[in-house]
Amino acid sequence: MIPMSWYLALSAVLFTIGVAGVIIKRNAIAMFMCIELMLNSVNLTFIALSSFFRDVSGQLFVFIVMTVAAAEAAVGLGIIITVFRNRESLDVDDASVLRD
Amino acid sequence: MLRYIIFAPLAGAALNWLVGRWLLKRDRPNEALIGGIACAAVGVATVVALWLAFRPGTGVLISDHVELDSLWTWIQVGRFRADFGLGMDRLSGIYACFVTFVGLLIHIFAVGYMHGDRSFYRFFAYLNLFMFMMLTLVLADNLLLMFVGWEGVGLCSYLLIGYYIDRKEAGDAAKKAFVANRVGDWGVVLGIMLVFALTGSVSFFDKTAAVTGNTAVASALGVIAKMPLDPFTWHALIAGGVTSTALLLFIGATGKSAQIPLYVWLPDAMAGPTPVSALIHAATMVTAGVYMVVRCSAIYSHAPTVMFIIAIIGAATAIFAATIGIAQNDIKKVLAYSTISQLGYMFLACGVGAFVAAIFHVMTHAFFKALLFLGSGSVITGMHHEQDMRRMGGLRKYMPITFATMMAGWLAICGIVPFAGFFSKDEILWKTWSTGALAIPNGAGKALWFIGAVTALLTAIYMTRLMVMTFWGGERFRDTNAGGQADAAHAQAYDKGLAPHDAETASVAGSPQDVGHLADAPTLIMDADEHAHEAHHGPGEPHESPWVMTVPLIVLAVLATVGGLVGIPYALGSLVGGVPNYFERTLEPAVAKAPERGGAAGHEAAATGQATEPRMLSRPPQQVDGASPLSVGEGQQGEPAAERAPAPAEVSMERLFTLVSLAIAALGIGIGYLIFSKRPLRPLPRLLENKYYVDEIYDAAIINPIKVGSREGLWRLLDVKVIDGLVNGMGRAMRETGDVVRRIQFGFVRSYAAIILLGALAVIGYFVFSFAR
Repeated sequence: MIPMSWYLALSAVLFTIGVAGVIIKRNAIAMFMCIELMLNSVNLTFIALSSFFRDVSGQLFVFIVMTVAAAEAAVGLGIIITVFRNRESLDVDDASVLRD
Repeated sequence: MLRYIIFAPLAGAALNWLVGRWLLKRDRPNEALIGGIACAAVGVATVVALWLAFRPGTGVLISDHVELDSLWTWIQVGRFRADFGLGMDRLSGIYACFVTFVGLLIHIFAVGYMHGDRSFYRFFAYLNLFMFMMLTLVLADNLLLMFVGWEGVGLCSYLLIGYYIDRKEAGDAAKKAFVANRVGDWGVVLGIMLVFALTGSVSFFDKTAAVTGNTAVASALGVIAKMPLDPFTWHALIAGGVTSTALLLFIGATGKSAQIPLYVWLPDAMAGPTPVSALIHAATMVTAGVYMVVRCSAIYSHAPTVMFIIAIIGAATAIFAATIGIAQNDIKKVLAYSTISQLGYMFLACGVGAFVAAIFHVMTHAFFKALLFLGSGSVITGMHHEQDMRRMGGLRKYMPITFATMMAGWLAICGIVPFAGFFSKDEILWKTWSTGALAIPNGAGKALWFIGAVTALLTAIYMTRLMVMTFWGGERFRDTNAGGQADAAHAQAYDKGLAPHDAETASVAGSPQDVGHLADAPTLIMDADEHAHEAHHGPGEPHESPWVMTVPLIVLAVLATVGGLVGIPYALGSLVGGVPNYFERTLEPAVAKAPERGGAAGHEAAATGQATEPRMLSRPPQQVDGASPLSVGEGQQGEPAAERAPAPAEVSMERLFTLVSLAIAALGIGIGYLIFSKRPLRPLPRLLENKYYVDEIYDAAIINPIKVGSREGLWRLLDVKVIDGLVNGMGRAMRETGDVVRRIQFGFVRSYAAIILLGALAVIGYFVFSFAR
């Protein structure tokens, strides 16, 4: 039986990598993948705690998160494609002209 | 039974509207069938109306039976209740009979007059729809349903005035009529509301639960009849009582019945086809105002101030329109002003309390004015759509039947002795002189009589001028420069692929002009006789109309000749062995009596209450063929005044006045003949020819300010600056706020992510910190 703390530690590591990726990466797709990473690290926490407390509601949350993530991925990729068509670049720092 | 009277014309309208276009489009235009449908629909209504009015035993006009027909409860909200119910008492019985009968004759005439028109079916659909609305107006058993008919006839009037849709002046005239009527209708709506507020009912009749099918309904008029008399003061007009109600309803009547100040639409309405002018703008619709006033006589007899106003407006309109009529050159315009003038007479009669005389004049006027209009239609057709009398003359040789029938109408409107108009006009004048109504101050009756008498003189003059210019004198239709403009109205409707009609070139004598009567248009109506006629004289010559047009003329001429004999006043009837006044005896119980000067108010209220409600009649009126008027029911309280023998002095006075009005008529005819037979084209005062510039004054005083105010004030200021400014300003405000706020953004996605992280850390840190303690 793997102790609970290992799951939580792994989850925390993955989440931190995701956060760091979002902040550091300039490529929009890479940022996007990092966001997915964060979502999935949270999913891992949910599953682990759900199993630990013998409560299915944590697993239900995971389904919701996955659904939302799928929808968000579709919208996000759509935006990315549009941005690429317009700017020939996926560097998010280039896409900073809206305020002007 | 009553429902058939109104729904038969509606069915005819629907049928013609649905299949008429198809019938007309086939290679053989089926005008006879379309016209036949329309005439049959009105024919059914006529037969049913006459049957209900005169059926033995329970005929509405010959017994005290009131025919009621409740179809369904239309509106029921709280205390307010309006049925879709019809009622025929003596007043609406008389109206229904002459509306359907004259309407039928005009329908038949129209089959001939509209021959060759490209939307023949549309005309008859509208005409039948009009009959439906008019009969709804007349037969409605409550004010609200009457108002439906009231609006409906306005709509049909609009549609038919603007029937020639490709002519701008027709459209303008239609709009003018509609708008002028709207002004009046505003008064009617408020009046109906006020009646409901005062009485809690809008019904004309007391209806039992058995009739309505659910609850009993009380008559609004009956309630008002029991109210105390309103005082004869100007203040009563705005007090919100019976007087205010009467005034508001009368405002509607001035619109519908073309009285000062809303009469301006009627002369322009002559842009419609002539049968329309005869049916709507002479015989039926324009008398709807008189009908309403007499129907609501219980209200008016309680509002002496309004009675006085009605008498003054009626007299003023009568003389005003008569003077204009003298100087018009369009044959239909003369008749239009004559109609306004005669309507003025009717209101004068209402104002002095002679409601019966008013309705009598409505009926005789329907006969002779419909006759005159149809006669003018026949002349217009015969002259190939020429309406200008300056281009006529000498037509009696060419159109003998039209001439003979119009003679009857002419003598009737002038008031020559056996003709219909004589009895009704004479009765109005006598009642005006001798009125004892509380509403007419001492002496005012004499002054009003004088105005009426002068109007009678003018009437005789202008009608004689019309006859002289049209039927006597030189044949001016061959002249090239007779002046005036041809009316292309009727002409343009006849586009059957032939060359443009002659109306534009009518002044050129002898030009081939036969489009109105297409020789090649196959038809069942046009008889072969007409072809022979055309061959007989040149195509440009005037010709007599076909039989579909002359037969209605002849029938109406008979009615215009003998129609007045049903209402011979006592003073004359007693001269020839006591002929009773059938008309007055029939109608007297159905209308309220105006209070007399010096009469006891309580007694009057009781008497009016009794007189207004036919169901409460204390005795059945005599059969028409009954014995001496004095033998039955003598001395009873609800007895009609006509049955009592007037004082001998009064009778001889009335006879004297009859002679006076005869003399006036003869004088008018004489003057008219002397002046106009020598010089038919005699120039007349420009002021009269231009109708006192009333249209121009209205333009300057009312229409232009509204136009300018709408354009500059409402459009350029309120709409563009205020409303658009508000909407656009909102948008601009948003933009400008955004311009300011967006400066705090810097646009790097990763920075936002970092800020979110910091924020999340801060929140977590806070919780960790606070829970750790």
